[in-house]
Parts: sequence; C-alpha cells; structure tokens
Amino acid sequence: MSHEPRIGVYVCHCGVNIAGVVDVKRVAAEMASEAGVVLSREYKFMCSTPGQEMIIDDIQSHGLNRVVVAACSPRMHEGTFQGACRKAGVNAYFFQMANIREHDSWVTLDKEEATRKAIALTRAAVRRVRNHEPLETRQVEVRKEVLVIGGGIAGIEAALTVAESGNHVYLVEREPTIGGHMARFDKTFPTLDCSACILTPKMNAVGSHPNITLMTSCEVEEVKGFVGNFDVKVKRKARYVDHDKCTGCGACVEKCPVKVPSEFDEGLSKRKAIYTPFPQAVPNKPVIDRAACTYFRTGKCRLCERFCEPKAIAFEQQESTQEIQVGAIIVATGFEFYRGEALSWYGHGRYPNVITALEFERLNNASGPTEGVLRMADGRVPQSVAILHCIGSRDKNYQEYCSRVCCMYSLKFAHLVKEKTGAEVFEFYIDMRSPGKGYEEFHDRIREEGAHLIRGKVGEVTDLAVNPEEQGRLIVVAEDTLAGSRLRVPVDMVVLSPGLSAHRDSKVAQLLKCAVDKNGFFIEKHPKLAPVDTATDGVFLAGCCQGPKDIPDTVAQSQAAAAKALALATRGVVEAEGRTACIDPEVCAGCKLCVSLCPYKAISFDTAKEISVVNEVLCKGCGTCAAACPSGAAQARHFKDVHIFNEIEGVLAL
Amino acid sequence: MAEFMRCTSPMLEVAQALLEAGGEELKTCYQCGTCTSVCPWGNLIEFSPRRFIETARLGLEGFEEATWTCVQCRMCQDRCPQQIDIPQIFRAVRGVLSEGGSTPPALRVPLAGLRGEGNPWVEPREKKTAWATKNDVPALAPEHEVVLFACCANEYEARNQRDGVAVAGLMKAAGVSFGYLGKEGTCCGDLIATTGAESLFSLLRKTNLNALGGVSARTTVTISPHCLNAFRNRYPAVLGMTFRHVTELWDELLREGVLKPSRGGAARVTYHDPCYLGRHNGVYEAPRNVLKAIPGIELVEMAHHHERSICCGGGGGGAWMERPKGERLGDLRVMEAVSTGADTLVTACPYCVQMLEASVLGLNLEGKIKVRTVSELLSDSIAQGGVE
Repeated sequence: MSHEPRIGVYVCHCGVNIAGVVDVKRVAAEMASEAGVVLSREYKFMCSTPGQEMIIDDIQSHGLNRVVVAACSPRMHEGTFQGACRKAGVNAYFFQMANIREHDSWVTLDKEEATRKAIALTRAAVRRVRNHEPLETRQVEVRKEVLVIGGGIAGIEAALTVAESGNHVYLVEREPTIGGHMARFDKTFPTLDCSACILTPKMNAVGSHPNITLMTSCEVEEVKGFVGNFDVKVKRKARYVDHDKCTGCGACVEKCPVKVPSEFDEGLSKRKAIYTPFPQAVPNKPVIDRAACTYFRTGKCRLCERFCEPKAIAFEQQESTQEIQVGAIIVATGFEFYRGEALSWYGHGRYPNVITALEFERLNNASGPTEGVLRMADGRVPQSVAILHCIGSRDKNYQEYCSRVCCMYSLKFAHLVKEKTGAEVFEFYIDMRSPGKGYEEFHDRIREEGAHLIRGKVGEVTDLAVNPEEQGRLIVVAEDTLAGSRLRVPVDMVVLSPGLSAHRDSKVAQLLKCAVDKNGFFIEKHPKLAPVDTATDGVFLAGCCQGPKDIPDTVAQSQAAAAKALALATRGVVEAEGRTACIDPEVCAGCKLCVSLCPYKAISFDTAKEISVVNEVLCKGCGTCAAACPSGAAQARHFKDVHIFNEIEGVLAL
Repeated sequence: MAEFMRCTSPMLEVAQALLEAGGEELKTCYQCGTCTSVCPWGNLIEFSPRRFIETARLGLEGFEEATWTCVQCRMCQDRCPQQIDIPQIFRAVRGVLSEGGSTPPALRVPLAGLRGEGNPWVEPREKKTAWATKNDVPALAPEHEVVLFACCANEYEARNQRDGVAVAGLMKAAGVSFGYLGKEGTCCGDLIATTGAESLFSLLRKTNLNALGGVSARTTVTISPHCLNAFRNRYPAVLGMTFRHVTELWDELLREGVLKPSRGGAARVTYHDPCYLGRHNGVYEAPRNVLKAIPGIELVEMAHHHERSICCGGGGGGAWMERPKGERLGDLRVMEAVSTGADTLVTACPYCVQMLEASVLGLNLEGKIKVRTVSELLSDSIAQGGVE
C-alpha cells in the first residue's frame, strides 16, 4: 500500500449553519494548495447519502488514501464518514474531522474571522492526517450481566426489565430496603393511585425474581474495566442479622427497648434500634442500627438475640466486599429533597406547623405516624393550610432550575388536605407548570375543588400578629401578583414544597468516570438524542440522577436504559478502541512509572526483558502513560508527537 | 369611539431609555412578587416593586409615582430569586425622570446644597470643620495612619455632632494615629446617588478622590455606613485604601484590649441594623460585639434583625422627604424597639439617628426610649472618653 498521502478535503455547508457565516468556497480553495491534497470540495450536506457517496467515488476514481471533512463535531458524524472511508477500502483512522460548526460558525459572529478560523482548523486536520497510520479495531465479548445502582422506582423498573429478558441483574441499594422515595409517598399525581399499592408488587417481584441478585445495605466501592467487561467491588455493610437464617418474624423488633427517630417517617415517629424501615420493606428482614443499639454502645442488652428463635442475630458480623462482573451499568441513584437555607425564610425548624413535602406525605400516609390523619403539632386538625411552591427552586440564590414535579405534587397536596380535613387551602405558586398527560386536567380539578391558587411567591411566614384574627396563627405574606395586592393570610399549617437536589454525598459519578452538571446531576451523552447514555460507554442513566422528573418519566427512562443495556448484551461484542498506547521496547528504560499510573491496569512489566508492556485489550488510549513516560517510549497511537505538532503548525500557519 | 377603545400600548422608547440608564436587569424579572412581599413599605402603604418593574419594562403609565418611594434598603434584592439589583432599577428610573425635570420638590434643597456647598442642608462650606475645631479633633497630617471621614450630619447637625465627638474621643483614648479630613473632602454623595443624580454624585466623588488620593494614610474610617458604602461600592478601587466602619474599628480595639470599657451602662438596649451597614455591606456582628462588651448592657433583638432588619425610612432620599403620619417606616421600627422592653434604641448611622429620633418625638415616646449610637454608648463606658 502506497503511503504517499493523497488527501481529499470536503468542506460542509451544513445548510446555512456553516455556510451562512463561513466562506466555504474560500476554505476549500485554500486547502487545495496544501501538500498532499489531491482534491478539495465544498458541498451542502456532507452527511447526506450523496455527500458520503461523493467521498466513496472520489476515493475510487482519484485514488485517495486520506480524507478530511470540515463540518460539525466528530461526536456527531465521525462514525458516518469513517464508515464511508471503510466502504471504499480506506482505513477509518485515515479519516480526520475538523469541527467548523460548534467550534466556529456557531460561536463566531464576524464572517472574516469565522472563515479564517475554519481555514486554520481544516488545515490542522489536513496536516495531521498526512502522518496518520492505519489502526485496527478488535472485537471484545460483552458480559450479559447488568448492574443497577439504586433501588428506587428507577432501579426497580430497570432491574425488572433486564431480568425479564432472561439476563441477570445485580441490584445494589445502600439502604436496608428498596423502594426509595416512592415508598414514602402517599398518593401519586394525577391519578391519585396509592403509591405503595402500585410500588410494592414491583418491590416483591424484585425480591423474588430468579434473575435478580438483590444487594441491600450495599454500596459500590470500585469499578474497573470498560464497556462489556466491568469488574465491580461492592461493599456490604454489616447488618448484624443473618438474613439467610432470619424469618422476618419481628420478635426482635418488638422486644428491642431502644427508640430513635425513624428516617422513613422523617423523624415524625420512632423506630427501634433493630428495625425494618417500613412494613412492606424488601427484604422484609431487620437490621441493627449500630449507633443506636444498647449492646453496641454499652456491651449489655442482647434482648433481640434472646428472643430470636432461628438464631439469626449476628453481632459479630463484619463489613464485607463482594466482586461482581457485569457488561453494563445502569445508574439509578435518584435524588434528595432540597433541605437548604431557603427553608428558614419560611419558618421551618422555628414553627412546628411549618412542614416539608416529605413530612406531609408521611402525615397523610395510612401507615405513617398518624395513620393518615393530617394533624398539627398539638394534635388539632388544621382549618386552613398554605402550600408554598418553589422552595429553593427557580432561585439563583439556591437552585436555579425548575424541579418539574413540585407544582403537580403541591396540587395533589391541596386535594388531600381538602379530602381529609375540608380545610381552606391557599396555594402560592410562581407559574403553574402542568405539562403532562392528564396534568392540566388535574390542575383544573383542584381549582374546581375550591383550593385558592394564588400567583405569588411567598416572602415570609411569621407568627407576628397585627390583628386579633392573626393571633396564634402562622401568617403567610405574599403578593397576589394578579390582583396586585400584598396579602397576609393567617393559616394553621404551612406545607413547603422544595425542589429536588442531586445527591451531594454520592461517589458513584466519580467511580464510573461520569460527568455531573453544575447542579450535581449526571450528564447524559446528548440531551436529545442520547438521553440515557453517558460519556462512559456501557454506563446508562435512569431517573432523577440525571435530573428531576416525575414517576412516569422515570419509569420510561428506566425501561430505555434497560433497553440500551440489553442491546449491548444481545449484540454480544463491542469494538475495542484502535487508538491504544504502545511502548517502544528499544527505548523503554523499565522505570515502571506507567505501570503505576495506568488507570485501566493495562500495562504490566515484563521481568525477563525488563520493559513495560501494554495489554491492548485493556488499554483505552487515554494517553496517561505517554504523557508521563520520561524516555518517550510510551506513545499513544493516533496522538503521537508528530500528529500533535503537525496539528499545531496547521492552526498557526497563516 | 375612542372611549370604547381604551387600551394601553407598550411605550418601548421609554422602556429602552430605562434599560440604557442602567435598568438592564429588569429584563429577567419573572414577576413572582417576592420583592413586594418582603418590602417594608408593605406594612404601611400600597407599594409593589414588582408592578413597578413590569410597568417600567413596557414603558406603561404608572411607574412614575412609585419611583420615589423605594428606600433602597436592599431587602428585595437579597431575596430576589433572579438576583436582580432592584434598587439599581429604581435609581436608573430616577435618573431618567430627573433628566426630564421630574425631580420631587423635596429633593431640590439637598440637590442645591450639595451642588453649592457640599452638604445637603445648604450650610455654608466654611462651617464644615467648626465642630472639629471646637472639640479638638486633630486635622489630618502626613504622619497619621488613619483618616477619619465624618458624615455631613456629624459636621453640620447638632444631634449627630455628639456622635462625631464621641468617635474622635474614642480614637484618642485608644491612641489611634488619626486625623480628620476637613475641607479638602466633601459629602460622600451616597444618598444623593440613590436619587439618580449621577452627575452631581460624580462631582462629589471627584473632590473626595482628589482629597484622599493625596494622603499617605492607608485606612479610612467612616462614621456613617453611607460613606462606607460610597467608598466601598460606588468609588473606583484606585485609591488602594481600606475603608472601615467605626464599629469595625471598635470591635477590633476591644478584642485587642486597647479599649477597656469599665463604667456600666445598666441599660436594656436593642440594636437597629442600618441597611447600608448590614445588607449592603454585610456588617452585622461588629456593632453587636461592641455592645456586648460594655458591662451592664443587655442586648435584646427586635422582631426583625440582621438580614431581616427594617429600614428607618431615610434611605434613597427618604430622609429629605416628608411622609404623613401612619406612613413612616421609622415609626414602625421604634414601635418594634419599644415592644422589646428596651430603654435604648442603638444604631450606627447618622440618618438612622435622625429618622428614629423624629419618630420617637412624633410618637410621644421620649420618656420611654432613647436613640443612641454604638460609639456614644462605648464612649460613655470608657473613663477617658473625652465626651463633651
């Protein structure tokens, strides 16, 4: 094969996206005089079938062996043009793309500037491609097992979907039970289904599914490998109860003398030191809270042990680690409710009858602390309730984004208050957002039921009365922006509807090398066209870890993530990267620096030859070794010095 | 036909003028009304900053009346979910209206005084330093380390002179190497800037920059939070100087043990946060620390304090504008203070002193509560205070 470069350059108009700003004819003309360029053309849409066929025809009729396309981002169409090259018999790595859309025409106003920039970027690609080498990709087998991280409705749905296909799922949940937030809600909007009634069958299905290994009280600790071949270490926290022996009879819980606030009930009720979080927990077997347990604190008690017939209490149990191998990972780590400073403007923590959404859910729940009776701190039933939207949301001081679900769940609260107490409801909103199937109709229904919906964000909740009617009550101060009046509304109870936040304490993104946005939510590969993929191949997103969403959207996304994981498993193989590192055995001094730095453990040391060796199956071509190698022996294929320097010269040449 | 067609059209030329005058940020307002609900005026009169913004945005009739009400207390800005500098929008609109000749009559005196004599009361400029001479306040000299910058009120107004004298006395007692910037300086211009009088403010600023540019001291201490705010936030940082409020200096000198308060005050006091010390410049604890350090003083908080403090009504030119009884923010504040059971209402701003004292008189509460400054109370408690 002749290695004398014969380069074809193609400048794409992308309709007016590029050609509207960049003088594409001039770019093409400039490239024609570059060494090695055989032909240089511009065309309306290079990614179209005629555009691709033009490349194929030119390769065949002009004997091209290198191709440069100046168009959009390689993330968009690199694969498309590499495919065309391959079809015409040119190695895909003899293709180079210059991004003159995202990096140029979309962000440059001045046409002359934009054209000069396009010429510089395209020239860099042309000069770089001259020294490219043909690289081969390899096929690697994909493991069929899937790991799902997080056992809320997102993880449950994803796990069941994968399991139903016959593939095996490991479902890892850090709490002692699956169910997540949904298990704590009372009703779900807009249909008002009982949340537990529709969730618990799914929880049970997970618990008993032959294809699901349920790992509660567990956390992912380490993830190694790559798409199709992940090695995952899972830490199992000590539960101090042997779940293989435990029958879930509950005698231990009954006898335990310690009472601490229940996390599940937002501290509104007590649980024991040995406990199952709620009656329908899966697995429905208790764990011991070490911090609360009298035995662990003082060395005495062991009442639970005495009453446990199957002898399942295991005070000696230790934290352990389990290793699992999977081909794909679905992240379903969910969200937490906003609990920040904004709450304090509304008296949360200062006035006992100012409660949060989650506290309201528990107070309303038949299995909650009041058995579903909405009561105030003194036990009375409220005669009037204010519901405050957007707590910490749409607020640049706290969370700038809209959490999407708060308007709807607040409307649901209005209904529940009316239904249970007949109280007057004053609902304060900024903009009512009800875009979803049946959502606007639900909004309409709440208005019909007589809730007072007031357009205005509340400034403060105070107990400073200015007239006898306000005495002893909570006064909600807001402007009714439609009436143009500043209102003081005395009520008995205030419900705060906070937005959704990303988990602040989660290390999962870091372990998976996934990026999170400024708010802490996982970033999907493409906001429209790859909403469940991530930049890490083989890692998919489901539910609120990617951004706030309601239950229907979460379930849909979970099924989508499962489908993506299954597509991978069904295909059975992945193309391994051709752009791997290589170590020149003649130059390597055997310092082993690269061995310790390689994040994929792809470099080993050949003790006989005293040099480092790259395992190309494991290498991801990240270039760490090449950057660190003191002798220059380690090089990243496709990113060798000659490529980088040619590229820089291309940009700088005027 | 015309009367059946009553409708309003946007006056985009007006709106554009407001944007260009510095009202840019109003574009992002989403009309939630938080500003109106937290505005202290809401307790007394109908006043909606939200509506003001909406009408100004479209140039609709109606925003003019509301323009001069705002006291620039910054409560709305701190709570605005869009972080809009709402006080700045009022200033921009005021500037545009003033250019069109619609300055409220009440502002004519201070405007004329500041333009002609460098103080808002049209007092002759020569009298600026009389208070200092009378009370042996040292004039600034090259060897001094600290510039004392007094408020016009300390210089020309009898009540606030007492505060100025207390400050100078404390500095002497603490052995601070300081000198008073006299006739070379002029009014800081902070308050007049909030009325939209940009060109007048620039003149005052120029004079002060010239005066301070020539001194060797690297720290300037102000008695008024307004002077502090002007220097910190409205003047360019070219002076390379540190600006501090007196209460910050007292707090430091007390912590270092340089000032040792001994004589007890045996008073129950409450502290009123001046908007320009608290919300505008974040100084909340220094004045409280000073009060707590004085033996015998019991500090109690009002219903609204720190970030939630209510304005005295003097900001934004309010100090120069008469308000009918029942529409005075100062009255609200004094009543809050009285309801704490305090016998002294302490503050740290000459304009707050004026407004609050006027309210005490107006409400016939002279026997019940006194208005003092942090410096005055501290001075009382220092043996060599050198007061009066």
